[in-house]
Amino acid sequence: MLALQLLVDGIINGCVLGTISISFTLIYSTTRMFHVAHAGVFTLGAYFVWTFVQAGVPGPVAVVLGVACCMAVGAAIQRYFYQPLAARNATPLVVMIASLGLLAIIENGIAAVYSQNVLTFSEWWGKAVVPVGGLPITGAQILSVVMGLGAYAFLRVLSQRTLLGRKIRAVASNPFLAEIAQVKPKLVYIWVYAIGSMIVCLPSALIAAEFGLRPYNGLLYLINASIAMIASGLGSITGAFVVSILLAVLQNLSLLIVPSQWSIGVTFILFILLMLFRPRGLFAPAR
Amino acid sequence: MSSVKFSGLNRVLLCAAVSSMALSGAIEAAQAADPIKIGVVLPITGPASDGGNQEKRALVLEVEQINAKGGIHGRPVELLIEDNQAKPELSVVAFNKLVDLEGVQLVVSGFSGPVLAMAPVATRKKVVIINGGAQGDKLNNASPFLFNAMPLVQNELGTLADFAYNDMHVKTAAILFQNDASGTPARDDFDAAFTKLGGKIVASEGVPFDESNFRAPLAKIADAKPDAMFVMITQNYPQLATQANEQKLSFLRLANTNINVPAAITNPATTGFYHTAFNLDAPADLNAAYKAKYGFDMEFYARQFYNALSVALASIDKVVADNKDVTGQNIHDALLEIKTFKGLSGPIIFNGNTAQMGISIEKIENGKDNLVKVMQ
Repeated sequence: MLALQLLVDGIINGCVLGTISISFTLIYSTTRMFHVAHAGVFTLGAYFVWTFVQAGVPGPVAVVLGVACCMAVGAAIQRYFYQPLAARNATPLVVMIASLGLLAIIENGIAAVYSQNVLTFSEWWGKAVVPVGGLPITGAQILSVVMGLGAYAFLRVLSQRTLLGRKIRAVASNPFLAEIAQVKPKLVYIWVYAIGSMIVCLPSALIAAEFGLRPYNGLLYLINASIAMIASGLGSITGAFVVSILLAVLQNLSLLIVPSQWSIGVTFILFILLMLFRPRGLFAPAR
Repeated sequence: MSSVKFSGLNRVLLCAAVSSMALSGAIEAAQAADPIKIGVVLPITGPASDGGNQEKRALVLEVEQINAKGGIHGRPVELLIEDNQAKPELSVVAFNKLVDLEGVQLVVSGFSGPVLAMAPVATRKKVVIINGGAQGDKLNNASPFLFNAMPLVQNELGTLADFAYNDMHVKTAAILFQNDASGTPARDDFDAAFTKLGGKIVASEGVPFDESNFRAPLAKIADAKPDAMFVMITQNYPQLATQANEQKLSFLRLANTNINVPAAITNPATTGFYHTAFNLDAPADLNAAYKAKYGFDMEFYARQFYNALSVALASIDKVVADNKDVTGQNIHDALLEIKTFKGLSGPIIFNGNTAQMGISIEKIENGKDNLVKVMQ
């Protein structure tokens, strides 16, 4: 029973992590920018939703508005932050440090506006427990799985079945050739940042609804999400989602053997082992 | 009427005497008006701010009260409050700022990690720290300049283990602890005390500071089927209790004084928790003053920090009365010389660097603490 509960919890946690990871993978694989400030957008998403809820907006509408705000923030970051840096030929290291600085600005801005105290959502149906096969699962946990699978399916459809998806793949593959083919990489980048930011708002709001809002928690989630992205092979949406679930499940199941305080270490041990045996990642195409 | 005539030399001496008298008077007057600065390093924001703000409120009220009575021998007391978010690294920065820039000689603080981080700096700079609320065992010998105005966790958890084993007939227990300077000594102390009584620890699970997802460790603890679970975290009790309720965990729940914050006590999810508390009631007039200022009764950590600052103020009072400079060394010596201080509900006795106080067991019911038993 314990193993089953840890497995189910791992799958649920993996879906949340996977949603963050695929949003980060979309941005990284298209732009090759290690967008650390994505952690800030992630945090900001929950605060947007919380603000709308406090203003009396119904929960689902507040989420839609929060998602729209995150899209706007993501697009603005690409247009007014990264594009000027790119225009000045900033190296990837400079871009990453600048992104880290932007994250600090976003987090401190949130703390200044909302304080560093833990804020909570009032009672909502997600807090109700629904027994599933004898396991206590909350509505929020079920929603996490639906959200994760929905976000993954959305990105797959976007990537494979839409014109924008084809443009994104073209730019990700070769931005110079794409530009020659009349695909505007700068515009595609803005779309990619907007979509990635839109997706990351969902797990942010769900985590906050379950455990409360904190201004400085984003980076921890992004580190785990980027581990999943790297372990999967850096460019695969499916890979990032599957590896996120795999890591979360293995981390949870490791508790059958080791005490809880070692669970974070287990993630990194798994990552190191994976990198030793398959350095290009689990889902990287064969050479 | 005869006039007094001064020679040239006498005139010079007279002028010098008058000038020096005027100068010493001016210095004395300046000293009398010079405020006595007391530093405060507490989590005013962040996950532990619920406790930090209780503590701050009590300190502010107590300083207002003493200043209304004329301060310490005519010198007003000034509080300089720094926010550390309960983080050790920020605490050291705040401590250095208070000491180096403001010349503070006594700092009031709490939380084991932050106090342990500041302790070596206090030793080096000979600045007194009065710890109002942290209870990690390592605090006992962390610095000769550190005084703990609250019994350390070893004594408290021995009492809790005694209550669990003898009064509640708990034979097997699990421990959920915060994996840091405050949680690991508590785990070890409860384990040692409970095992010594004849009980058995069947699970011990650690979580990081500020963890809010306890589902996996709770599932492990539930699988061990203990009679009781002892919890030692510094915040997020409502989240923990909510998740324990989701899993319908029926075993007894035990905690130490850390749960004694309004956000935890008043949350319906924590109903049923038994926890330790120190015998510390606010006198009616003090509680009325607190309620008049803040709108609610004086909380546990507010009472505790009121006590802690009383120790500091009495020690400084003695230093000033003895015509000594208000330095950390002199405050330290005065505190050890006084030894027994008047507390809110009885004496606070310092036989070493840590105070001794009575301990009771409370049960949280209907958003309130209810006294179950006075243990010591």
